Amino acid sequence: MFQDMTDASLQDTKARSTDIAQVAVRFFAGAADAAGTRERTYDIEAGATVAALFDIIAADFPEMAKMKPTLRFAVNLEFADLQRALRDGDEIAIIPPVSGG
Amino acid sequence: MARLVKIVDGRIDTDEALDAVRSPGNGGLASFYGSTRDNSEGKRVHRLFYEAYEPMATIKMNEVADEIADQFGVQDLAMVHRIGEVPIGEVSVFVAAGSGHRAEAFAACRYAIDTLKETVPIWKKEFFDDEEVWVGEAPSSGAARDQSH
Repeated sequence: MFQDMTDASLQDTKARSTDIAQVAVRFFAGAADAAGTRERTYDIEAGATVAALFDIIAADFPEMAKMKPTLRFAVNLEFADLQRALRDGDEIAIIPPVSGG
Repeated sequence: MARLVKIVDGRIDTDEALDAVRSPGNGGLASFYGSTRDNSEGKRVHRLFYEAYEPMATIKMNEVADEIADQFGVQDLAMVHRIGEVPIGEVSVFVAAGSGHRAEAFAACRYAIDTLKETVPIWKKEFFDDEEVWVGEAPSSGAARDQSH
């Protein structure tokens, strides 16, 4: 009984040391076509960068990987670079070349 | 001073936008209408479709308006972009600026449309006879093609 509680407590500590961040990814224009969806939730390691998240996304959607050189990224409605660290609850947008007007 | 920044699904009310930039002190009102064109790179376009990342697009359009206030001293500015299906020959984007004199109003309009096209997350899809293409992206077929614009 006491041993079980210790194990559970150790697991809690371990879980906290690699916190999971749940982030929402939104796809637009050609990126939405490549993904076949407009929004998807990912569980990543807290503090992982946009680049690391994109590697996971690109593995899911090979067509997306080809688009990488043309893409920009936004985090919480602002353009962000690939080194930006992500937190739980962030909204990431995959932004192909814009063409309004 | 008045600012009108909007994304609309349906016809743009250009009168409303122009009215927003009128004021007794504004001797110059300049406007720009972007209209959907029936051709692109020598091919016939049948219709166009626009999509926006709306909350971010609204923020970026307001940032453009802030820059215009800083750089040209123009406070009265309207920027309206239409999304969804837009038939050929209709207004897809409208910009208007009101200022004491015409030079600043013209400059503000020019800056607004040029910057909007570079920084605001809005996308345009052109429908041709044989394919549909997000402008500025490689064709969905993946075939190599010159995309110079």
